[in-house]
Amino acid sequence: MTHRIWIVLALVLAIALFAISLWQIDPQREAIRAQAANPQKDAPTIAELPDPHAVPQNVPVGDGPDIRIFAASSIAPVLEDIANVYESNHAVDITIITAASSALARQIEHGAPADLFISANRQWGHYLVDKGLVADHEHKALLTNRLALVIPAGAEQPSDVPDLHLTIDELTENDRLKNQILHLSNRGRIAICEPTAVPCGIYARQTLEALGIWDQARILPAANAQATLAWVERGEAAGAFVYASETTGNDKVQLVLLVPDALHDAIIYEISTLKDGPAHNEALAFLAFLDSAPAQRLLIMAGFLPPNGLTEP
Amino acid sequence: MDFWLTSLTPFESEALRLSFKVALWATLASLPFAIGFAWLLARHDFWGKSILNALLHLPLVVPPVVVGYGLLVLFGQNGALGPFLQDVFGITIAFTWRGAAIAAAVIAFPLMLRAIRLSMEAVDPRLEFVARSLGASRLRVLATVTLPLTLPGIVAGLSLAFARSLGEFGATITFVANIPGETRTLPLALYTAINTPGAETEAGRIVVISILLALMALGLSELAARRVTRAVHGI
Repeated sequence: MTHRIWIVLALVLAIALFAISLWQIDPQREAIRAQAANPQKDAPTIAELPDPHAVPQNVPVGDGPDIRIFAASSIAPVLEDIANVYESNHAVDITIITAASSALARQIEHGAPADLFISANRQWGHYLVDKGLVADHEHKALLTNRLALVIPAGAEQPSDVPDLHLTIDELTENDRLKNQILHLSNRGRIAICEPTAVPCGIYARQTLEALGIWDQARILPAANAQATLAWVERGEAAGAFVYASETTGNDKVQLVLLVPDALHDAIIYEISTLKDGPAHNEALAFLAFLDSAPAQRLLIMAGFLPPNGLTEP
Repeated sequence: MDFWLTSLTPFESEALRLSFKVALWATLASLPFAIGFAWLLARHDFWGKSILNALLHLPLVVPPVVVGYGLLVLFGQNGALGPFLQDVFGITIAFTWRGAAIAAAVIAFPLMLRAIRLSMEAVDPRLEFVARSLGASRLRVLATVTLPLTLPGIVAGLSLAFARSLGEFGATITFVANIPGETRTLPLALYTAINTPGAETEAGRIVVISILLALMALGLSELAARRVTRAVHGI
């Protein structure tokens, strides 16, 4: 009798393993990643651009010092791709640690070994500057982004007129956005990042407050930008406020609209070089690479916007 | 209690009330199932018993996030059962405190089952045989002989499950997220505070509340266990 149980268990295990091997990762997303990781193949323009930090091609790859980048979750995927390009011709390893900017700031404050910190707003970068953890003058605006209202792919676009069919001649842009959000709120919850501390949540809260519907909208707070996106991609949330860059090449969500910039603080990604980083000099070299044309190109391809001459105040 | 609640911030009292509600429902709702399965496992032999036993103990050994994701796939808005329950019974589970209670119940279930089963196995089967030989039905034996003698195990199981439900985090945040007033129980409130730079005071206060609550629960269950043991064994 006990023998039979083991045979049954072994069979179940074998079938499960077989099923897992058939269960492939979303091929489309894999293709995007692969393309970004080997840009030479499909995007010759990047390879053609001179790399200012290129070193001879025969450098040993992957056993150099480890640069640890703590990055806001919205920028982590493209940073991963940039890191792959950089690692392919520099003798360094790059480890990207990703979470909400606020969570990362707190980890660094408590001694997590980090070389670079990319925050999705000004607040958390400055928080570490105030704590005296950022190297002098190594704190600057890197990129900007926009906030977008999205719904799951295939879902019906929310109406932009109020439920009561009053004949209203002219709705302002804000009125329409407000109606769309309230319609989505009736359908389910609207995912946003944790609105008290996480940058994308703060921007979303500011937007809802500016529209005067912070108390009416039914929100679903998530831990960070990627988690917010995941809720709406799976269709568990009726809609979500995410970064516009996260909708680039993403066919699991559809855009309702880009939120007007005036409704929230400017979305600025700031990068800080940390004083006590274990690979400080290598981190500075990578920071310079982020300003180079190939890296900027990858960032723009991923839907980010240049900092528009924004300088550190 | 009211005095205590007034000295808490709304953030804390909301989380505390919710934790109680979720843990209470999770514990009470699992009790009949735990007794049923304990009886099945302690008093019966059947094909696949060890498989059933392994399945019932699974939530104890797999990472809670796996349980949470499984529940999401099952009861989510797009899950296998979620829309059915919503349409037919009008019960929304996704992103509500009911979902949080389900997550806590699933995670805590093996602990309750184990305590009750061990206690039931310790009941002398001869007492049950005697009751049967005197003409009592199986159900009557269970209700008047087995269960009363299992009471210490049931009390232990209830308090273990309640304590585990109060502390449930991984399955809850994966399944029903972290919604204030709906699914943000004490551990999730603490997590939120920990992830907010500069919120050390908030985090510290929740830690103290959690410890006090756990001590109170332990004390009460100890008291109950003593009374029950005295009643059962007549000491």
